[in-house]
Amino acid sequence: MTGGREHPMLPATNHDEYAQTRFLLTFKNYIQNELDPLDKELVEKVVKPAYEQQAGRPAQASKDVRKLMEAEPFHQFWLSSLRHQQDLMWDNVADSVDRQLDELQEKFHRTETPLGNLRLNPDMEIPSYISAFDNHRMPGSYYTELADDDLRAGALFDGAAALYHVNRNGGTMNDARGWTMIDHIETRFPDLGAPRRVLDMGCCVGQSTLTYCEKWPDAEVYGIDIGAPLLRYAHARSERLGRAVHYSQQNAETTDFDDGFFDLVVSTAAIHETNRPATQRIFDECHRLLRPGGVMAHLEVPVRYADLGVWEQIRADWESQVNNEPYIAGMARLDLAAMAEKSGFRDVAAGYHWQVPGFIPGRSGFETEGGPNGTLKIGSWYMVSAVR
Amino acid sequence: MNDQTRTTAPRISKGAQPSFFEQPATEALYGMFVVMLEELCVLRDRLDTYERLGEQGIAVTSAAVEAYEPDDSVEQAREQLRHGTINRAMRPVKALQEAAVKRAQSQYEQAARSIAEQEI
Repeated sequence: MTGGREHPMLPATNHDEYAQTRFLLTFKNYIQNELDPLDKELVEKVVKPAYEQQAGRPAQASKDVRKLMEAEPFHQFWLSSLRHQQDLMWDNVADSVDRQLDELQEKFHRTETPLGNLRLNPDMEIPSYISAFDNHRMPGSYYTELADDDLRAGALFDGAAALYHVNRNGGTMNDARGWTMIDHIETRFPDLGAPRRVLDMGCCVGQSTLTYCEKWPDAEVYGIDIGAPLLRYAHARSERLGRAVHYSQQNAETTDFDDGFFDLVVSTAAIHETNRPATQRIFDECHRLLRPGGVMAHLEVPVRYADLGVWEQIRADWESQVNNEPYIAGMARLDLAAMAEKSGFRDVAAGYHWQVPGFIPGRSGFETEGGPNGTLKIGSWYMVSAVR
Repeated sequence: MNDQTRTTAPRISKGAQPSFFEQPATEALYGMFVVMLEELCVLRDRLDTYERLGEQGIAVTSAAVEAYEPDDSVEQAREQLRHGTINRAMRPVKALQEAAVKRAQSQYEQAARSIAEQEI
């Protein structure tokens, strides 16, 4: 569909659906490569000087210039372009998924010789940070079920994932975050060795989860998420790719695993979809679940407000305010390392890890400093990791 | 799964539905514009598939269109066309930015001149 390995659960695209994905890729790249620099120039040459004249001091944060920017017609188009490409992406993929939903459901029912398993809990309460709005504008979010054994949300998420990340996140496998996590673990914790038991929190459709199976073939790999449709799809996807994962529907704040059960507990891009109290509770839960000497690592979007210039903050605000990821702006201001220490962890570090496989030549490994001149460190992920 | 199930699947996300333009109608119109731009690019790709099938002497049927797989050179040519279409469509939008930058610069130059004159 959009490059990289295809897998047998991925929704197929017909001629025109494929053409839609090509259009959206071009349009997304056009916004990023040609409209973003103009929007940044508008901040630098028009709005920052105007703010300084009005306020008598230089603009330091996006909130200083928001009103002035929102009055600029070009910026209105920029904001709206980002919104409509996102909505159109979900709409296109939803049409494609619905066209073949019967076949996808059938594949779930025909899942044979299970290597792993699937444990759902229909009584689990969906936390308000998920139920109050649809994260990244995906209609129906992760948990909406419209029929028995519904996996539509998983198919919708997986069908859109490569496109969402403009093919930079491991193509249709969308597993670069998992490989980046592994690289981080090996860089920071060479003594950990091959873990016996790994837990992936907020595993979604298992895109990162499967990399842990591939890297540590003798490990028992577990994945938890709040969304039953995601987990059904994840289970069918993992089995078809020959990977054993034990999926269960659980909230990462309070799981039913025994104390000290895991050697490694990780998440990839899950924490920013919670909230501040939940983050602390998740760190506490990681501490409970790990054996002494075990490792916790969370991979996040590389957004830290303190490291960003005014325009880059405006871009991050769009994710929070328009793309329904409100906690990005909060999380990106929190001292996640201090929160890990508060949960009892030692050897805590937070910083940027360059993506594996990378797309920025010559960049690899873990660094604590932000991008030059307040630029977003595109091609990296923000990590917080620690030892129990 | 039945047809009723499919029609009840949510198609609009729960949460912010902001209007960035002064009129909400402009927001809706721009949403329509992006859809039409996509539709135009999809039709263009389909037409390109027809022509390339024709060049190979293959009858244009639905099955032949679905079976057609563009190679890298076809992908590149289509990418160039799409980029050109989007760029032409967005020219008036880019012009808004250019005008704002020019206006600001002339304002600051004017302000600087008047300050300079005052100091003389």
